[in-house]
Order: sequence, then structure tokens, then C-alpha cells
Amino acid sequence: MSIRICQVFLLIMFSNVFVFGQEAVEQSSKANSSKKASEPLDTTALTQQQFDNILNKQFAALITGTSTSVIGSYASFDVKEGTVSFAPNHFYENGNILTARAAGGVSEGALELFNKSKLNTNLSLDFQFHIFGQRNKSVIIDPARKRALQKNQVDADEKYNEDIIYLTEYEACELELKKIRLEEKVASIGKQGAVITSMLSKAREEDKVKLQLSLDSLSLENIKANKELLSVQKDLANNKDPLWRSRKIQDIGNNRAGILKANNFSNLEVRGFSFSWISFGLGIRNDAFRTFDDKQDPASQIVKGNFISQQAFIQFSYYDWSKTGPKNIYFSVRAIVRNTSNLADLDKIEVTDVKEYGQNGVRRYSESTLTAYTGTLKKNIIEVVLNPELYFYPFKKWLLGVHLNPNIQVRGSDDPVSNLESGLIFPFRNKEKDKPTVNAELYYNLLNVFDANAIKHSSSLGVRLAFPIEFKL
Amino acid sequence: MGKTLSNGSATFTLKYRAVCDEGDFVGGWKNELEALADARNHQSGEKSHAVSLEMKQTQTMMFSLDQFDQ
Repeated sequence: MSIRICQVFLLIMFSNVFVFGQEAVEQSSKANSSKKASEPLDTTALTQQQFDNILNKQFAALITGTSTSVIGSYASFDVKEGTVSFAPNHFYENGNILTARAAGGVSEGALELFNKSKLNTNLSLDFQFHIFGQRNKSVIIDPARKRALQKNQVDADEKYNEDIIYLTEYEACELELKKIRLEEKVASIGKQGAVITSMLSKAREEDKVKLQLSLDSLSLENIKANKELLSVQKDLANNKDPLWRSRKIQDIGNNRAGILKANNFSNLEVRGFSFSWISFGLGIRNDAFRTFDDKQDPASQIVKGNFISQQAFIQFSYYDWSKTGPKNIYFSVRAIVRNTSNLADLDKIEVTDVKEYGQNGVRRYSESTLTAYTGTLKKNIIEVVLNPELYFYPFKKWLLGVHLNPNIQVRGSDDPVSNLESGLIFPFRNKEKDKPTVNAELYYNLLNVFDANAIKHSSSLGVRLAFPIEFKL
Repeated sequence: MGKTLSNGSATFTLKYRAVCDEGDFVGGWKNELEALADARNHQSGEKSHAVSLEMKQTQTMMFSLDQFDQ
């Protein structure tokens, strides 16, 4: 068992080396193309950087269910009923995503990987690395909305330049001019006041009232002009103060930043996209169970056991989505290799142990029930599965979808088994938000297609509500 | 058909289509002028229907062996 665990960790480490190696190569090529990325291609087209940002965000939302595409690591927890799942994601600059998921039973608030050198009985660990396809991808946007955002961004830049030029070149000149004019005004008022004062001493009694009124009015004007002059002198002193100027430049810069953020292209509504990606995954899972053998003596009929299954897969996926349709496709093909057991094929029974207690004519019974598997348990079965899957919405307005999911399983030395699952999908929209609330699939599952009695013995029909991918309507 | 722009190893193609906001018309992917003509044609029959233009930008990466020689 420990050898197998070591093998799994070696594989995980190898995958990480591959991940970081990939990033180093991407970063060096990014440095070469960083010049090109910032160059606008056309006034109507998205730049390389805008194009990448929009699509990386869509890809991240699809893979992780989060709307972030900011480079870095994020994690989410889900704790319920004594089990915990921890799902960290790491987003790379080139759009690639590393996801991990650990789930297991919690004892005293801690998720133990090993307890007394035994693996946690409910533990599962999954690592997936998704390489975002670079060759062919597209995005659909509303060009009128893009033009509007672009205009607001250009206007914000122009306003910023005007404000900075005014602050650095014109504001000081204007304040100086204002100061000179106000000084002249104050001097003129003073002269007029002196004339009126000299007239007042020689004036007749009936003119004195008029002259006094004029003098009072001039005095008020003088107070007003002096107040204004003081304010201008203060502004002028501030304008020459580097700290005050720096603060004002910061305000102007922040004002532009606010407008640019509100009109960022990430706010552009994405009306469609298409891209492909390749995923690699590794996973281990520890299942604990009991087996029941009625041929043994009662003490050894029930045996506790566990099995650590391992799985690796490679998957190619393609998603072509458009809000306005008319056709939408999701296609994937996955090859899985796993080391498993036949536990799922064994019969499950409930075994009840009855204990009798009795003394002095009183009888008391206690029962304990447990679930056990019967049959021959086979471990270390190598299983290979090839599983293509197609979701196709051929009609306008996502009227109806078609789902095809065949798979071929080769298990150990058994003959290959082919299964086919097909279904019709009925999307039920949310009237208010125009978003899907439920995608219901009427499915028909046919196991072992090439078996003549398959339809009779191993077919099922039902309704399913969960999908491997979140479809946007 | 559409407009093509090249940026180093990436080539962008721009295509446009007219889409009726009421959901009863989606034009084919064409150049902007032709898509605008589609919008006009649809509106001549449906005066109360607003028609938007959608732009699809497709990136095709070109890989050449010369890149690996450096």
C-alpha cells in the first residue's frame, strides 16, 4: 500500500514540475510578446491583452465556478456532517489552472491525512491541471458597447491630461494675474476713498450724507476685495508648495482611475465564446468497507477492509457558446486509467447482530446493524475507460438539447464493455433574470450495448439535473 | 468575409452579425457593412424591433518550426 502511495505522490510531484516548467516557458515567451500585447490592433478589435483577459475569466469561471481570473491562489471550504472538503485553485497568467480537492472525515475539527500511520478512511485527493488552448479561440461582444466604454476611457485620459497641464502650467499664471488685478482694485478703492474723505470735510451738510454712503459702500468693497486677495495669495502659496501640488495630482489621478475602472473592458458583456482545453488529472481515494462470508464461523464472518484506488485521466474539451445561438456545443473525450476494486459490483446486505441478556426470568435483547458486501472481492483491477461526451443545442433560444455519452470500459482480462447514455435536455429559464435555474435531462442509459439482452436487463430511464459543465443560457 | 489583423504569431479575424433584440432574427457572420445592411433589412419589416450588432473576434495562433530554432 505504502509503495502505491509513494507512486501517487511521485506522479503529483512530476505534474507540478510540469506545471512550473510550463509557466517558465510561457513567461519567457510573454516577455517577448509583451510589446505586441499592448499595441492596439484596430479601433474596433480587442487588443491581445483584452482578448486574453476576457477569455481567461470565462475559462476560470467554467473550470472552478468562480468569476475570478486574477493571478494567484484561492481556496474554498465546505464543511458539513463531519466531513470537510478543501478546494484550492491556482490561476496562471497564460490562463492555465491547477485545481485540487481534498475531502475526508473530520475528527475533533481536524482533517487527518494519516492517523497512526493509517490513511483517513473517507479521504480522497484530486489534482487537475487544465491547459487553456491557444490555437483557436473566439469571443463575441457588442461592438457598440465596446465603443462607448472606449470613448469614456479616452475622455478620462483627456480630462486627466487637461487637469495636469492646467495645474502645472496655467493655474499659477492665472492666480498671479488674479492677484495683480485684485491688488489694482484695492489700490483704486483706496484712492477713491481718499478723494471722498477729502471732499467730506469741505462738503455742505446736505451732501455729506450722500458722500458718507459712498464711503461706506467703498469700504465694503475694499473688505470684499481684500478677502478675495488673501484667498488668491493663499492659493498661490499652495500652488508653489510641492506637497499640495502632489496631493492635487493624486486626486486627479484617482479621479481618472475611478472612471477607467468603471469603464474597464472586463465589464463588457460577453455574448459568446469558443475555446478548447486539455485537462490532466490524478486522484486517490480510500474506501473502507466490511465483507461478509457466511461460510466462515460467526466470529470471522465479518471482516473489515479498505482499498486505496488511484486514477489518472487526460481529457480534451471544446465549448462553443453563444447567448444568441443558434447552435451551442460542448464536446469532450476522456481517457481514464484506474487501479480499482470490484466493490461496486458486489451485493450489499445489512447484517444484524442480536445479543441476549437474561437473569431471573427477565430477557433483554440488543441489536446492531451494519452494512457489508458479499461475494468475492477482487483488488488491484486495472480499468481503462474511453469516454466521449457531446452536448448539442441545435435550436434557437436553447429550446432543446441533445446529450450523447458513450463509453468503452476494459477491466482486467474481461471483455470490453460498451455503454451508451443518451438524453434530451430541457432548459428551464428563470423568467426574471433570463438565466437558467435548472437543466433537466430525460436520459436513457443502456449498459453493455452489444449484449443481445441489454435492453431487457440493463437499461434505465430517468431524469437527471446535474451536468459536468455549467451551461449558460 | 471578415477583417483580418495580424499581431506577431497571432492572427485575429473580426466578423459581425445582426441580432434582433426580440430574438426572432440572427444574421450570418459577415463584414460590418453587410451586417449593418442585415440590421436595416430586418428593421424595414419589423419597425419596433431594435437590432444589435455582435462582433466575433477569433484568434488563430500560428506555430512555425523557426520559433524552436532560436
